[in-house]
Amino acid sequence: MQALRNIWFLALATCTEGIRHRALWAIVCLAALLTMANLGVTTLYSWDLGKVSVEFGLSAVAFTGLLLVFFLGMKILADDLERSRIFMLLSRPVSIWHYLTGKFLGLAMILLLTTIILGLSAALSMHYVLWQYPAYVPPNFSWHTYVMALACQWLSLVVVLALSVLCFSFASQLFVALLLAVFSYLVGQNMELLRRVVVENAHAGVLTGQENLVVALSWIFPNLSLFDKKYAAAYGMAFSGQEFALLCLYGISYSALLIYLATLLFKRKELA
Amino acid sequence: MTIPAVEINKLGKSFGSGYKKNQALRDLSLAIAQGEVFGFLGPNGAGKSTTIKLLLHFLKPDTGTLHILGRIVGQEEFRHRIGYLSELPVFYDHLTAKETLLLSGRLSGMTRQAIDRRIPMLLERMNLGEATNRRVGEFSKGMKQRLGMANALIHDPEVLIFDEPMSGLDPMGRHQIKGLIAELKQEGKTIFFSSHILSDIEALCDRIGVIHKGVLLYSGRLEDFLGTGGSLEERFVTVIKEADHASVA
Amino acid sequence: MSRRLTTHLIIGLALIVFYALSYNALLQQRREINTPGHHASGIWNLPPVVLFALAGEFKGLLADYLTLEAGAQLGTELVRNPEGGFLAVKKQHDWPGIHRLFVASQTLDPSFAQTYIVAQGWLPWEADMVKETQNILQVAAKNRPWDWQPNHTMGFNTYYFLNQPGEAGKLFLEAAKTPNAPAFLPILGARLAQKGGETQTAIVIMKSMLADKNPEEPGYTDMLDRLRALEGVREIEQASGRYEKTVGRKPSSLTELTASGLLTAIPPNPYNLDYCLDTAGIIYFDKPDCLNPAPGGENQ
Repeated sequence: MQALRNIWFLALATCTEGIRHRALWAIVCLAALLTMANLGVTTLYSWDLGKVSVEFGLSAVAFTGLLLVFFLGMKILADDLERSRIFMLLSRPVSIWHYLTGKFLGLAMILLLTTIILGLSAALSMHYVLWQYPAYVPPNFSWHTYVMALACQWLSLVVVLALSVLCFSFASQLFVALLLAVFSYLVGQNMELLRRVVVENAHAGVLTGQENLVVALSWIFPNLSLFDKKYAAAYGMAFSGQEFALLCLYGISYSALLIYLATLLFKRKELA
Repeated sequence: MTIPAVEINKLGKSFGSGYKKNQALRDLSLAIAQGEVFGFLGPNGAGKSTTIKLLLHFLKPDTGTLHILGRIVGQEEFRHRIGYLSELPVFYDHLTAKETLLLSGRLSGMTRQAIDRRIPMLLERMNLGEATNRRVGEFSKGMKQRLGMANALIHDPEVLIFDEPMSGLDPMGRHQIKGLIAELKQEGKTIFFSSHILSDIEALCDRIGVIHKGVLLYSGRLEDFLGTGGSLEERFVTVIKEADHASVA
Repeated sequence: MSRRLTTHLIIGLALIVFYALSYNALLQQRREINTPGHHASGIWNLPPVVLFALAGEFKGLLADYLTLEAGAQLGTELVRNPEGGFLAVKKQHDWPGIHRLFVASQTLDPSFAQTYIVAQGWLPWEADMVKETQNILQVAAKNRPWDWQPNHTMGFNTYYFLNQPGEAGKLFLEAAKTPNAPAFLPILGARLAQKGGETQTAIVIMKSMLADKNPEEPGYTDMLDRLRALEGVREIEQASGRYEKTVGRKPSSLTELTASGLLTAIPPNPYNLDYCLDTAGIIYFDKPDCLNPAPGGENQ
């Protein structure tokens, strides 16, 4: 019970610390401006204005989230180590896994908050475009699908965050951890594509005939493209509640596994 | 016979490997009784902070064992019974003093009511009453040091471990911390602190340990260390020089 | 003014002037050599797989940009009029490059309407790239099941540029299957299909469409009339085929066909017009004077 309480208190402290960080609000304000710029960008097109508006809004959320994970999130973790702030916590009855899980949850809460703010901001500009140009709204557009796509976007960011925490737990320098995290993100985004190329293509360069290797890699790296529902939201292509539930399960289970591995690796680190 | 507050047996720790290997601690053994004020002194780089970090399990020893109040460090939980003040206390800049103490108290298993009672008392005691709701990022160095002290005391621990508690403080700040350590001693707390300000050691400690290049040169009563006469500084310098000559020979 | 401030002002001014002169000289040099600009190269020249990989989760956004880029490369160019103002002059278009832009955009987002609409507006007309446009439209049709226009546009290109009315008719009928497709599509599609010798296909498609339609829906009766007309045409075509097998040539008129006994009676025409058999053997249900057409072309 105390373990859960510790994790919660650490998450709350991390979230509070992050929310009060000026960098967070600078990024969020910029992103909110971007989503409002949606209005101007949409007028550059003559058809499918609804799709352009939805996609631009969701892309702004995705881009901002990635900035927050890679720059704010990893900085908060690195600062704890570099400035020895972690000792303030580890001198209490707090284990490494309490610490990492609490930090991870706190940062996930920050991501949730920014996703909601930016999602609302994007929705406002989208609503205006859809109201102004009803003829160019995809026939099956639904706000329900948009909200689900937003939730999937947040889940994707949570998985990337878990990846970043894992990279941070074994890399010796913040820069190395950042590079590894970005690399893992890029591989994760293209895992599905890589798998298709190798399995369906007789001439796949050095990967020809390496289906087993690629399939193994697709289990190790996260399949982030599964969480990308911008296309579905843009064209009003509803996806089932079952798929959504399974995505949530996949995201949660994969993140939990990564945090667990991060804990094991972090324990081996010399903190001082 | 009561359990020692702190017991260190044949502690060894090195950093790096191969030709870069640095033996930070060598066969260090000492014991601190409950209610004692123990001063740990040595030159810069002697191994004082390393010893403290090993005590708190921030580092893992290569050899030896450490016990705090009879609990094995690294195997049994003891941290709810100790309070730690690092050399340069670092906090979350965007949390207020109150929020910082609240977090520490909660992580130590205290109830909200208990924390709410202790926070104003501790902040007043540390002359931080007016800064209760100010963000720690706006604090001066001295204020952070005093907040660190309050942070170490929030859960009323039995053993206090301070790493250079007077470091960087002005004379007023040092006077205040010295007074506080004396009060804590009166309350029966065990205090283990490292310092190279010898006058503070002389004023406060019952027993001392002298460490140099990872080797404990002396552990015992202050009076016995001082011997027949001379200041602590003179005796300290002599012991260090003798150790240096012995190692060269 | 203090000496320090003056020094700062002078240095600042000098730097600004240096910057302005350098940049102006650079722009001047680019104008003189008429640099082709960035049109010749761009990420749209990368293989689709690489483009897909690079875009990551921002495929839609990149597709939007590429279509915008294509739009920017099309149209007219504005050049300065020596007498003042601007003149619109026709651009030298890099059609293969522009085509690659559309393909790249579609690779990333095959459902984007602007891509296929703009491609249709330029490629078959100005660049003589009808086949390439049809490929783009095919992808759009496959990925926009709610949109009748890609199939309809393919049908138009097939009829107008490729001169294949039968195939065009089939495409119009395919477009007609889309929900909310205009009522004229099946009618037009059936006519073209029949004209192009695809009468049986047109009948099958129209029957399947009618099966899904409510008789109360607008356009149902029109479609039924067209189906009956096609069935009449088919009956006559089959008889004509039997005649050609037996006699060794096409029948010269419907009267000859009925007289041979291979067609017992002329089937009823829902449009109350006579069927007409022309010299090429094509049967018309709406052109009773097909052997002596009036000037002005076909109706409907």
